[in-house]
Parts: sequence; structure tokens; C-alpha cells
Amino acid sequence: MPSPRTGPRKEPVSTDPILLPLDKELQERMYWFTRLRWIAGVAIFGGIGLGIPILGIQIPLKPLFLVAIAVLGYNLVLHLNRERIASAPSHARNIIYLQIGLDWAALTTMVHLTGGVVSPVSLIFAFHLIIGSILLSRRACYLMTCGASALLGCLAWVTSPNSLHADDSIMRFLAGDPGIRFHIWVGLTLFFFVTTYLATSITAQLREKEDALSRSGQALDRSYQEMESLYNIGQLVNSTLDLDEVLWLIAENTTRLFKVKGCFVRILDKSGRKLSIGGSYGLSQAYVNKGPLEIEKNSVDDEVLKGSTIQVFDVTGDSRFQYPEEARREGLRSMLSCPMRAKNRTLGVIRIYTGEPHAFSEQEQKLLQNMANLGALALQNARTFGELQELEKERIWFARTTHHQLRAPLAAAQGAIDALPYAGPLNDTQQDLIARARRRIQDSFDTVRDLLDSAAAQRSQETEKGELVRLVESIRRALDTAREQAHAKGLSFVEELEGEDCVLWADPGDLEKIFSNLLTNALNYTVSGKVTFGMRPVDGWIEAWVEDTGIGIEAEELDRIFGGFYRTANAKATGVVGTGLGLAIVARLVKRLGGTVSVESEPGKGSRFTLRLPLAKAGST
Amino acid sequence: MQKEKCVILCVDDDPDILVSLQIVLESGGYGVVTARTGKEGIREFRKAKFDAVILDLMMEEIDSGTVILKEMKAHDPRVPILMLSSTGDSLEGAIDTNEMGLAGVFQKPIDPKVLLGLLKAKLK
Repeated sequence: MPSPRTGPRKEPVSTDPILLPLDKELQERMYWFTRLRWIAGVAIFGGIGLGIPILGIQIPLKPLFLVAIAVLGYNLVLHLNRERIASAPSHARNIIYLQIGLDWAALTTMVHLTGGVVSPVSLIFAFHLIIGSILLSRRACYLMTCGASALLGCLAWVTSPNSLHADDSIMRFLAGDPGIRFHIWVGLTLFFFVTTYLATSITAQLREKEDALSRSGQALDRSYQEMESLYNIGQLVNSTLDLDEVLWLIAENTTRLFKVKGCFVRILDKSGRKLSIGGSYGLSQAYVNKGPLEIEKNSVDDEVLKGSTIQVFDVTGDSRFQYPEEARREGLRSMLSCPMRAKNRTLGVIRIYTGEPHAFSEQEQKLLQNMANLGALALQNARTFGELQELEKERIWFARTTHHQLRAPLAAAQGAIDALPYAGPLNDTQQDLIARARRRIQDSFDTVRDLLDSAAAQRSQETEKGELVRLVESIRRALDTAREQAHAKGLSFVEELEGEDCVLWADPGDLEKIFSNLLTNALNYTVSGKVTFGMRPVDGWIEAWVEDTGIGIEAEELDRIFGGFYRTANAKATGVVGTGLGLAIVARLVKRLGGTVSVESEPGKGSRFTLRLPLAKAGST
Repeated sequence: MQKEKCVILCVDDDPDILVSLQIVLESGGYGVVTARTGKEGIREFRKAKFDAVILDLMMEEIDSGTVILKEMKAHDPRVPILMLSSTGDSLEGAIDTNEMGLAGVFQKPIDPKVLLGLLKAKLK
């Protein structure tokens, strides 16, 4: 079970939701309103400038100028304070009503100044209603329409030729008749209501489409986010092969992905009948360790293990739940659970808990399934790796034990034979027999050693030891031994060294084994002449060779010498005892170092074994 | 030869090895005490004063040799101890002979000539 972590840990994947910019929309419309008002203010000046000379309408200029200046004035105030208004979105609606109030006051004044209800300016109310229907609710729009009608009604009531500020005779004529004023008012009211109806209907339709678009956009965003989260979580949980850490990462990231109270991962034991605690996040130790989880007693887990996704709306009051009281104390309310499956095998179950009652949507259920399967794969990887490690340990133990068992009796036998001469004088025949026995025992020692080396060369990549080494340094002992043996045999030993400072990433023991095998072969099968060891760097590689002037190898045998348990006819003929494993060990070790080995040979003239080993990359540690 | 006979303690769980060692050492003029287990070896070591110890590195359990070695060194660090190992080089954990206060580690079977020569040098 994972213990609470204190050390540095991997950051969970972020799953922040997108906030809907509803308030932003209102703000944008307010800015638009302000821009329109600049045009309106300028239009009043334009209307005065154009209306009087072209249409010959006589209206009081001074008050109209004042109205226009007032409109531009408060618009300027609004414009300058737009940032402050934007920072308090809760006040935005009130500010809109304030703007409408100011606009209407300005408009009403203008209508009054230009002839009352009969003034064409009164039609401008329609524009306000259209803008309002975009900004405000349908109900507010109809209230505004009633307001506009009432305002004009009042104007119609109070307007009389005497109260007119405009001097135009047509205006005076129209305004002079209460009947005409009433008719115009009725017509305008009707016109306003039709305008509001049309504008709000169109707006409502647009709104609906906009909402649908925004909803599908949100769904798309959500899907994308989920996909991205799953991908990141996948990478995260697969970043380690430590089983406990994998389980803990699954629990933590699932909790964060769903923004729930906690997550529980339980894994199925080998019998397939018992669930054990895997990992948890957000739940107390007391709850996690509350008791055994027997599948027979827990119909939720039973069904989930059969492949269903189960949700329990209220865990404190559901009979399927094994520990309702403990769940209540923990503050858990709703739960969603689904199986963790990888490659058609159920490895366990995952549960998420909320602190508030929550009905999980189909989308959430699917997401948990995906998450669970992702976790299952990581779980399986970690498990397989753990099993491999166990096997490797067992293999090494077995090799050691076997080696000891094989060597111990041989050592005892040889010790006894070696002690014989010390027990009393021996005749020549006895000494000859002892020499034969010793030689055969030595052969057996060699076989045992080579078998073990060959087993060690097969060990998996994961347990590989490595360090940065210089080739000549790590094979110094093998070279020294070879030089001594060569001199003892009357051979010359030549070293051609170039690029001695080049660094390899390797187990020095492996390097020594490789070259000691090659050099021993060269010395064993060379009667006269020389044995050469050489090395030189060749772009990114070290090329190293062992060359002799020995018996050589027949061309048809060259393919087989690296296969193991094979000795060439020439080699056997020399009478040198060998196991036929030496070159197989070389080939395996070279392969493990990421290198290659090749051989050129001419029978009777000699052989040359050439190795290419990769140089350590810069930055390797 | 020394005036006083040097006595050597041999600890190994293999009786055949002990017999061979005894023959070789006695022929070299040494007195020999043998022990078949680590416990017995430590008991003997405490009982009498030895001039050298020959110890099997790997007895019943992998590390028992090193455990015995540590106990002996704690009791009397001056006695030279030779360790014998029956495991091949490639699987042998690296043993720091200086750190353990060893006179040497040798692969079994040890050549009688080498063994006698070494003891002669150590017990001057």
C-alpha cells in the first residue's frame, strides 16, 4: 500500500474548466452602445445643421445644442469609466438602465422641442426599442415599449400650439388638433409594439442559435480537454514502473480529472476472488483500511468486475454498499465505479466519490472507463516489470548456487589430489595418473566457468551495470596476462593504441571478459609469430581488434564460431582443451554493449577479430 | 623452521577439503586444528591462540564466511586470515580485502605450493 509521500512528486495534470464569457458579452454590447451614441450626438448637430437650411424647419437651436452636448457629455463620462464598469460586472445591468434613462430623457426633450408627438423625432424611440431588445429581456422590452407609448401619450396630452418651441406652421397645424395628436399617438404605439415584437422574436431566435453553438463549442472544448488530460495522465502513469507509485498516480490524477472528493483503486489478487487496496487519494487512512473487501459481500464490486459501470447516488443509504456508516463518517455521497481492464483481463476496480449528491453523466462514465483502462495498462506494465525483476533475481541466485554446487566437489577432488604428494613419495606412474586427473578436473572447472559466464551474458538489459570507462584501463589486467603468456610461449605481443582517452559506457567486467576471451584464444591457437591488440576511434565508435598469426579458421566455419558449444576442426586438432563457449560469450556481451564483432581469417595464416563499440554520448551519466 | 610449532585453524564445511589441507599443512611443519562449522570455528578461535586462520568464504549460507571473519577480527585482529572461495570470479561480489583485514582471498582449490609459500611469508 502506498505510504503518504513527502518527497518531490510529479505534478498532477491540470484540468481547469473553461469559464463562459457571459458577462463579457454584456460588456461588449455596452461598448457598442457607447459607439452608437457618439454617432447619435453628432447626428443631432448634423440634423440641426441640415434640417434648418434644407427643410426650412424652424426649431429652437439653443436647447437642441444643449441636448446634443449633454448626450456627448454623459457618453464621454461612460467612455472614460468603461474599465471601472467592466471590472464590476454585477453593476453592468444597472448601468445599462441608467444609460437608457438618460437617452430617453434626451430623446423626450428633443421630441418636445421639435413639435411634440407629431415630431418625426419621436420615431427614434423605435431605434431604442430595437437596441433594447438586443440588450435586455423580452419582458423588459415590452415594458420599455409601454413606457415609450406612455411618454408620447403625455407629450400628446400636453402639446398645444402655444407650448410648441418650433415655429413651423405645419407642425403648429398638426399639433393644434387634439384628434390628429391622438391618431398619431395610436399609430406610433402600434408601430412600437410591432417593432418590439419583431426585434425580440429575431433576437430570441439568434440567441437560441448562439446558445446551441456555444454549447457545442463547450462540449468540443471539454472533449478536447478530456482527451488531453487522458493523454497526459497516460504519460504520467507510464513514467514509472514502480507498482505503488503507478497506483497512487492513477488515484490522484483521476480525483483531479473529475474534481471529486476521492478515488480508490483496488486490485484483484491472483485468485481473482479478493480485492486488495491498491491506491487511494483524498480518502482518510481510517476509511481506506476500514475492513476486508469480499466480493461475495459486495454486489457493487461483483457487478463491476463482471464488466459493468455502476453508480450509487447515495452511498450512505444504498443496500449494495458494504460500509455505509463508514462512508457517511467520511463524508461521501455519490460513487461511480468501473472495472480496470487491460488486454481482456480485469485487473481491478476504480471508484470515485463525491462529497455532494451527484448523478454521473454518460460522458463522465465513459471518461472513467477510459481512465480506468489507461490505468490498467500502466498497472500491467508495472506488474510485468516486477515479475521480470523477481525472475531475474531468482535466476542469479540459481546461477550462483549451481555454480557453487558444481565447483565445490571439483575443488575438493583437486585439493585431495594436490595433497597426495605431501602424504608420501609417489612413483612415476602415480604422478602421471595424478597429472591426468588434474587436467580433467581443470577442464571441468573451465566448462563450469564458461557456462556461468554465458548465463551472466544473457542477463536482461534492466539489470545491466554500466559506468563511463576507458577501454585500455578496464582491460589492463587481461592485457598484462596476455603479454606474460605470450612471452612465456615465445610470441611477441604488440599493442597498437590510438584514442586511449575515448570513453565507453560499459560494465568494465564485461569488457575484460570480452578481451580476455579473445586474447586467450589468440594465444592458445598461435604457435609462432605475434598477437596484436589494437584500438582506434572511428566516428562515434571505438574499433578494437585482436589479431594473431595462428592456425586460422576455415571459411565455412566462420558463421558458427559465435553460436556457442562449437569448436573448429583446427582448434580441436591442436589438443588445446576448450569449451566452445568463449566466442559465444564475446558475441553476447558485445551485443549488450550495442556493438558488433566480426572476424576475418585465413587458415594457416591467422585470424583477426574486429569489434566496434559505441563511444559514450556526451552528457551520459 | 620456527622453534615453536605454528598452529593454524582451518574452517570449512567440506570434510574432504579439511583432510587435504591438514595433510599439506602438517607436511609443512604446522600444527592444524579443524572446524566443520562457523560456530565451532569461532569457539576454537576463542579457546586458543592461533598463528593463522584459513576460512571458507561461502559455507551453508552465502555470507556466513564474512560473518565469522568479522567476529574473529573483533576478538583478535592480529591473526592473519586467509579466505578461500569456491565461487567463480564473475559472480563474486567485490571483496575489499583491506577493509576486511584479510591476508588474502583465494580461489579453491589453492595450490599447496602457493599456500605454503604464503604462510611462510606471513608467519616469519
